[in-house]
Amino acid sequence: MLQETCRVIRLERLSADTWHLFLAAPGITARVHAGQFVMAAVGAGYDPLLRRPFSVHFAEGDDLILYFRVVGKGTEMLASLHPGDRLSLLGPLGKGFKLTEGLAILVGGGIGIAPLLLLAKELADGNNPAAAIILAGRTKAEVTPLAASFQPWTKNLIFATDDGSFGIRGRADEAVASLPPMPGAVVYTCGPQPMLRAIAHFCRDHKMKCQVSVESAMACGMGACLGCARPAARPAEGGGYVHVCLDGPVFDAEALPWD
Amino acid sequence: MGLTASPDLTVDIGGLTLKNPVMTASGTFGYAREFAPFMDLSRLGAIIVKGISLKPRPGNPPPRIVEIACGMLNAIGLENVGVERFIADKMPYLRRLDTPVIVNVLGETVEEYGEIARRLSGVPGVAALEVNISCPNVQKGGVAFGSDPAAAAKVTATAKKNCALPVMVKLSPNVTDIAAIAKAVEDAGADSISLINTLLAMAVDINSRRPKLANVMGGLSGPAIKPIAVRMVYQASRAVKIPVIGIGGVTTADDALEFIIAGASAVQLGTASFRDAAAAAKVLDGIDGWLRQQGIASVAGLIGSLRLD
Ligand SMILES: Cc1cc2nc3c(=O)[nH]c(=O)nc-3n(C[C@H](O)[C@H](O)[C@H](O)COP(=O)(O)OP(=O)(O)OC[C@H]3O[C@@H](n4cnc5c(N)ncnc54)[C@H](O)[C@@H]3O)c2cc1C
Ligand SMILES: Cc1cc2nc3c(=O)[nH]c(=O)nc-3n(C[C@H](O)[C@H](O)[C@H](O)COP(=O)(O)O)c2cc1C
Ligand code: FES
Repeated sequence: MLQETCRVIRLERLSADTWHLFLAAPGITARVHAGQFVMAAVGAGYDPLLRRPFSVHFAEGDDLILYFRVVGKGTEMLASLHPGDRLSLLGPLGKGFKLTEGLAILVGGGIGIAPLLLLAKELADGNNPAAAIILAGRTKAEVTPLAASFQPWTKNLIFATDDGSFGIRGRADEAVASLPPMPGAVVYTCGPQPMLRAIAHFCRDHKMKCQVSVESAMACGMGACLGCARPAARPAEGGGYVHVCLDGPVFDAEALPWD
Repeated sequence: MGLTASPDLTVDIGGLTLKNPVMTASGTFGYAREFAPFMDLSRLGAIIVKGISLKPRPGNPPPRIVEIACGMLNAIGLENVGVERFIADKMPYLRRLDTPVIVNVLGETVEEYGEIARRLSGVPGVAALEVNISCPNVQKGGVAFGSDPAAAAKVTATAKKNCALPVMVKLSPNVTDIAAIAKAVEDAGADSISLINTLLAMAVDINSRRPKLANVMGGLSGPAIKPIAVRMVYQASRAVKIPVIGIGGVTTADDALEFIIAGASAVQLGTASFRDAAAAAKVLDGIDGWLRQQGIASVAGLIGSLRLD
């Protein structure tokens, strides 16, 4: 874990509100695993005050890519960076995906697609390329810009859009349900809470292993503030909560309550 | 002007001499180990660990934190592993550091404060207690004791009676007369006082019309509270003879120096460590640099040097 001052290589606008940010971050890139995240210190002043958490979208050589959506002040500032600007990242943080044996199904919804690209590469590097990757979004405009970067890592790239403008019409969990049965498959997923809940239920009902990447408000990202608590499925001794920045952001689905 | 010799950074905080006036505030520095990748922890004046209670506490439901302009609200609710596991799991690492470790403690009753003080007294590596009578985020204890001079005095006397350690009492800003509380705590035997804990605050989501924190209210910290903290340190330090430790929005060396000139013998950094994990080390370097540049030989001479003429 380190605090690294990174150089902005470039920003790429993918859709109305989504961006790729390319950074030179050799220290973090050398250490990161799929599913881990960084805390970015956006702006130089006291507002925004806290760092913002972002999954590592991709890392190769010295380059680290974030995939983000502008939702507020901090992400707006990220989207207005220029090549050559500096950005302090704290990372890599948290526990990422555990690559396990069995066919891998990757399911991302919206900005939750972010951690899946590095995962797809790690699976391929480990000679177990994803059996299917499902990318779900609201519209065609949101998901198509991601096609090229995911294509090399799987033979089965599936899109799903809420409005049916591209790929399957429907939600990510409906796309998972439409896959042919894959005994022993593992589902790796990240996305909005209702989508994660539906996929966790589907995997439980079909006896599939499932790893989910979840969010929470965070102040420190490294176990110092205890602000990132979420209820645990089975309260451990002395506490009914897990801490997303330390115990996650990736959890076995059965470690969290879904009802 | 300009000294080439190293300025003397040592300060006395009441029964304990620190190598410099920069400490880390309770609840914002974990159990210190988390920050070892970012700085040499033994450089710190002292480390104050997360608040500890007699029994483990699960803490409050989420959301527990929310950011506001130039600050944040928290309602962690003193989640901690309890004093026994703290001693067994956390102290072995902490006592190896060449830095005093101050344990922040909280009780639900006066008796609990006594019990936890007794348990920590004599534990190797515990240099002092910081008695938290100012947490705004728990149902019982905390600020209930910190807002009444008689209750604050009772907790202080009980902690003192039950341990041989220096006792620093952490005061709440959620009071009308800080001088009266500071005086009561001093008279009850406190070795020092630290202030401020967070200010009771609230934020509302206008779309859902719900509070942004599950606990409804929480404690405000960060740069937004610094002027209030400086004012209260000034008032408290005029009211007592024991050392006063300044807390609240300290982010830079200038902030720390402001507190020291206003009357603080030392400072604690809280929220600042979230933005920059090495903030405490940078504040220390900055104080050293400023003293050299000003040709001031010792930081102790700066304490309470506020000019009012
Ligand atoms: C572990 C982790 C990984 C993340 N990875 C990514 C990522 O790869 N890409 C990405 O774009 N985002 C990611 N996020 C979410 C991202 O951190 C937030 O969107 C960001 O902090 C918002 O900052 P802001 O200053 O722009 O918004 P703020 O000004 O803080 O908030 C603006 C509005 O957005 C809402 N908001 C805040 N956080 C979120 C959120 N998480 N989701 C939806 N709405 C939110 C607020 O309630 C508010 O209404 C991740 C979060 C976590 C915890
Ligand atoms: C997340 C968080 C947790 C805290 N936990 C404690 C605690 O356990 N005990 C305590 O006495 N103060 C606690 N505090 C208060 C801080 O120690 C400090 O008094 C306060 O944050 C003001 O300083 P700052 O503005 O530098 O953060 C906590 C503050 C924050 C932000
Ligand atoms: S974000 Fe601070 S402990 Fe997880």
